[in-house]
Amino acid sequence: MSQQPSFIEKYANPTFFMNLSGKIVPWLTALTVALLSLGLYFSMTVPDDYQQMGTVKIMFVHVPMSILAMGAYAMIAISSIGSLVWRHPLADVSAKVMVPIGMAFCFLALVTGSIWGRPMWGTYWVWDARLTSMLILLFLYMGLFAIWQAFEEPSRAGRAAAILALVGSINLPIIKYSVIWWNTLHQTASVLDAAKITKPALDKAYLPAFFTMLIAFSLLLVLLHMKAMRAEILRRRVQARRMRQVEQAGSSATAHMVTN
Amino acid sequence: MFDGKYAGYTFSCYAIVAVVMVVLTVWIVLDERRQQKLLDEFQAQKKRKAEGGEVAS
Repeated sequence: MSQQPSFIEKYANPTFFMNLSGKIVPWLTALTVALLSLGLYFSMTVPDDYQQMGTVKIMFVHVPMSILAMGAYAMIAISSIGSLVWRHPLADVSAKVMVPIGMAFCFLALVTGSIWGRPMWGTYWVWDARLTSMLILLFLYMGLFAIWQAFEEPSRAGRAAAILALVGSINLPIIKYSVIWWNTLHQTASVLDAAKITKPALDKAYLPAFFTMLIAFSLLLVLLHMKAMRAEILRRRVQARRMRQVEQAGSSATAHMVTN
Repeated sequence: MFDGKYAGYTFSCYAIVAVVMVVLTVWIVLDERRQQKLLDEFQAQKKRKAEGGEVAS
């Protein structure tokens, strides 16, 4: 008696993902490029802030980078659960390829924040709770990247990386609430806060640019993740074929020796 | 666009983000193409072998 495939087996398998992502990617690319262009236009045409002057424009890249660096890590943690609990191959692929992407976003959040800090705070860096916890996030990304490079066998690397990712996810609420729990130089959230979402502290002149850039960079993150997952699935297929070829060559050599 | 007292800081931020994002995108796109090419080569090799087998038999 043949068993019906489960929902996960039917839809969350590499072949289905390759077919679906192949159709989504061109549309997603067009939408991302259009929104990034619009976001850049909005960003460049906003009026200067009376206190921050032109540096207010840094917010439109710095804040999305910071939010998405944390979002990417959350995605790695969720994928790690899928990888550890269900041993799902796509969860493993998803967690692996998100590491360099999230690392780039985290690096950019730190660099743009540091550059913004120089004219506003008079310094590039302070050991403030928000900045330090963000730096720890970058180190976590670097640790995950090192694990994936260190192991030759993906399943072993996946297990070690998943454990580190889950342990490291404790840093996410620390980053979010660091500006509330501790007295920091970094300001509290102006828009993306439950209490301020209906009445943001940010002037409404900046909201279109901010949200357009946030959505555009979010789509870019999804697009890069999807493309990187496709590359990783293809890499694993190539590796599997190579292994099969080596095994076949080995067995035919053995058969040749036996017959002679 | 980037004018005023702190234009250099603002421009540097946008430039760094643009460079890193372009490098990351190109790296991922090229990696996918390379893997697809390798897989296509394997498939072509398999097809050639199968055709060779048919001719031999």
